[in-house]
Parts: sequence; C-alpha cells; structure tokens
Amino acid sequence: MLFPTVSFAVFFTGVFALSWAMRARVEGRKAFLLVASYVFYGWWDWRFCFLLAFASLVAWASGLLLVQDKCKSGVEKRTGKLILAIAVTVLLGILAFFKYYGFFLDSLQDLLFALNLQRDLPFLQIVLPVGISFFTFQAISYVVDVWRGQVTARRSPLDVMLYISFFPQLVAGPIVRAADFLPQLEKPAQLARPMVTVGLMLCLFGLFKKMVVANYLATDLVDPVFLDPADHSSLDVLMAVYGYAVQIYCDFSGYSDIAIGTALLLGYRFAENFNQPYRAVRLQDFWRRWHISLSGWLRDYFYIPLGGSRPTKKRGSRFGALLTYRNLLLTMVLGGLWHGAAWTFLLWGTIHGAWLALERLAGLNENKSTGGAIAGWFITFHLVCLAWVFFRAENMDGALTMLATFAAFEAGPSILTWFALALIFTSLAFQFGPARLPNRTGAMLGTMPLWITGLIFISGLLLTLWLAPGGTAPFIYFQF
Amino acid sequence: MDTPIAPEHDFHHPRLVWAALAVFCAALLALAVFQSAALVTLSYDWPPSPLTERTVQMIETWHGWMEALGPGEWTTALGESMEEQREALVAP
Repeated sequence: MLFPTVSFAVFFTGVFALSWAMRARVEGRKAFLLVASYVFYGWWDWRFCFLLAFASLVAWASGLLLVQDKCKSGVEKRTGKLILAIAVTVLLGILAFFKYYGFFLDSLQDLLFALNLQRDLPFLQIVLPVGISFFTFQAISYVVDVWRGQVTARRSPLDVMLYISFFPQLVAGPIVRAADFLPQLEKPAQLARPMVTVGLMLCLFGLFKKMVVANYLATDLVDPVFLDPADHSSLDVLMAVYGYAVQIYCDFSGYSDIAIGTALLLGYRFAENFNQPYRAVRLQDFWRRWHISLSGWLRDYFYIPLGGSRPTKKRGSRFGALLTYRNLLLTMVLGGLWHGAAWTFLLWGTIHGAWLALERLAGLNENKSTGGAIAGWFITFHLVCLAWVFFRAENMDGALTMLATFAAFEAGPSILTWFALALIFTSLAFQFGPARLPNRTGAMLGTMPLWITGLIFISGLLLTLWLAPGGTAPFIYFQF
Repeated sequence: MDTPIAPEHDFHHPRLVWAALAVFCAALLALAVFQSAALVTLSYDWPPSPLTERTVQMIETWHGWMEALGPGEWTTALGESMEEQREALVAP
C-alpha cells in the first residue's frame, strides 16, 4: 500500500478512528495497531508478514534471554555476548539472504568465468521483501540496546513487534530507536491540536514533494537521461544529475514527512530524518542533515564500536589517525552496501567515506569564513552529486557513460525544459530558506480553529493531485 | 530526540479526534467528488468477485454523475491544462 493512494487514505482514516476509539485500552490499541501494520505490509505480499514476524520474534526472544542472563551471576557476560552474536547473525542472515545472495553468486560466477572455471551455481529467483533493510536494522538496534542496558527488554512480544512493524515507518524509515518509541507505548496516547496541524502539514508537504517535484523530475528528465546517457548532451547530463539530487531528496524526505506526520496523528513522535541537506558546507555536515536516522544508526552500532575517532584522540599518532580514517571508510562502505548489493552502491559509500576521511585529514572543520563556506558548499554539493551518479545508475557502465558524456562537453538536442529547471532550482533555493517549514506552518495553524487547517489540507491535497503527473510511482527507498 | 512537537503540548482533547476525523472524511469526500476517475482505476485492480462487480458498477455510476455535474470534467480540464502548460515550456 503506497502513501499517495486512495487505498491508503481510506485505510488511514479507519485506523485513525478505531485507534483513538481504543485510546484508554493501551494493550488493545497496541494489538490493533499491530494488526493494522501487518495488513499494511501484507498489501504487497502477505507471505512476507511471516518474515517480519520472525525478525520481530528473534529480537524479542533475544532481549528476554539477555535480561535473564544479566540476572544471573558468574559467567553471564560471555553468554550475553553469545546471545547477542547469535541474534545479530540471524537478523543479518535474513538481510544477507534476500539482498546479497544473488549479487554474491553473480560475482562468483564472473570470477570463475575469468579463471576459466565455469560451474553451475545454485541461482534462485529471490523477491526482495519491501523495507527489509529498515526492519532488520530496527530489530538489531533493539537487541543491542537491551544488551547495552539502554532499553529495558519487553516481556510482551506485542511491544517489540509493534516497534518493528509500526506501519508509518515500516517500509522506508525513519529508522526509529527503541529507546524513543517503546516508552511512548506505555501510557495512553495523547492528541493535542499542534499534533494534528503539524501532522497534516507534514503529510501535505510530503505528498507535494513526492507527487509533484520528484515524479515530474523523474519522468521529464532524470529517467530518460540515465536510461541512455550517450544519446543526450552534456548539459542534459549535468541537469539530470542535479535533477536526481532534487528528486531523491523530495522522494525520500517526502516519505519521511508523511511517516512522521501519520505517526504524529496517531499520537507518536518520531525524530526528524532530513534537515536541508543540500545547504551543508562539509560532507560531515551533510550526513548530519541527510537520512539522519541511518547515519545515527551507523554511528552508534558500527562506527563507535569499531573505535570511532578514539584512536586519534588516544594515541595522537599517525597510526591512530589512520585507524579513524579506516573506521570512516568502513562505515560509509557499509552504508553503501545497506542500500543494495551492487558495485555502484559500494563505490557510492567509498566516495563518501574517502571524502569524510579527507575532510578530517585536511582539518576542514575549522573553516568559518564566508568565502570558505561558499567554496565548501560548492564542493560538497558537487561531490554528493558525483556520488549520486553511481547511486542512480543501473550499473557501473551506465555511471561511467554518464560521466564520459558530461566530460565530452558536447552540445546536442536537449530534452531540458524550463519546467524541469524551475523545479530543480526552486527546490534547491528552499534548502536555504527557513528550516522545518511544515512544522512551522503547522505550529502557526495550531493557534487557529481546526477548520482552517482542514480547508488548507483539503485544498492543498486537491491542488497536488491536479498538478501531479498521472499514475502512482513507488518511492525510491522502497527498493531498499 | 528532535521531534516536531514539544512535549509540553502533551494533553489529550477527545473532541479533537472527532474534528480531525471530520477533516479526513471531508478529504475523502473531496477525493470522491474531484478524483472519481482515480476511484474507477482503483476499483479495476480489485480481485474479481460478485461484490467487486457490484461495487465497480456503483463507482462507475458515481463517476458518471461527477462527470455530468461538473467536478469530474473540471479535474480533467485542469490536468490537461497543466500538461499543455508544461509542454509549452520548451528547452531553454
């Protein structure tokens, strides 16, 4: 079930009405929201509900075992680590099987072919379950947080299952932390006027960003150029790359806005996932603004356990600094591979990791002059765009053809329109305007009668539908 | 956690649920009136059954009314106008 559809509008209205009718019965409301979340997920393919339930139950059982282990004395530390290792291996195993099995066999076949050792390999037709990367990462974070003592393990499987499958964030994030969400399940949910107005404005802005900006840029410019870059001019290629930067931002942040907005309307708060990322003046700054829930996850569960930047601080030596650069590179490579099993994603992560290490090496963190900030913004934006070429291209050949076509500086017939240019540059201009515009608008409307917000929401919804191109395009991050 | 709403707003207004529900119902009604063609397209994706057949017929009848009364036509005209404007903005 996609957010910008009539089916979801009907589904959400029903869930909203029934969940608030059950407000006083905390456990009953949780059970209802769990069923609703499985209906939402099963809309794509009901068989994957079993996978979702399995991942949730592994996380719940591991949490309980870790608590029982902590209650004992003696050798509990070693057993706890073993439970944690088994749980993380099982959860990563699910992700690896569905996401990386085909890639691994393809790469192995290529290697064997190169060595003249052709073999029949056990290829399978594996359908990737929607949102698998998101729910496995949430399940892992629950187990690790329980092991670290940052979250109390829940006795009821209901809490853990709802935390992992709650439908607003289930298929494309934000990656919600158990420590933020589980305490919200303990008491009856609250609905105050600003929650309604901000929730509605987040949904409206998110729908507009996705249905109008992202969908038009995709159909009018980005998809045709990336499909056959050699057939386009250098200007088309450059604008398609800028266009993709805007498209993926509007697509993904649009989804996050709707997710945060719908959760808020049901009485739950999620942390923000985007904060004007294209105004960043350094790549480190970009990662504090882009997909904040993933960069936070990678920092807390991978970068810091690897050592983070401690080797530099502790040892103060060149070797210590090298370890920090290695940690940055490995973290971003993992971030790339999280998106999918392809050399293009690996290279996308490597570009980000290498540049983060380079920024640290060059000490770019201290540059505060205006000229330095402008230069920093220009370099950061174009580096992010360069990495997007690999992220978007079908394969390495496609990405290299895009770069070669741009580097040729050839004029030619163009598919560029004023409409596409206006979408790109207006969207980029908004990156430098006031932050958190839907929240500000919603907060302002919160002081007025609700029918005004309702009127704005309905008018905005109809306007978005009239402006949007026909058809329903899935969100980009559904494939991850 | 950096959330859209500060926790000091945490108090529940039961009447607010009814008001918000009224907004959602009005939005659904607006969609049914002005986007009746989308409802027809949606209904064609439902699995075949006697109930589906009857519901599809009802939705088609509704869409026919909306076309005859005006809202359906306005939506089509606005969509076509948007398409024309967009296509008129040729390459710079």
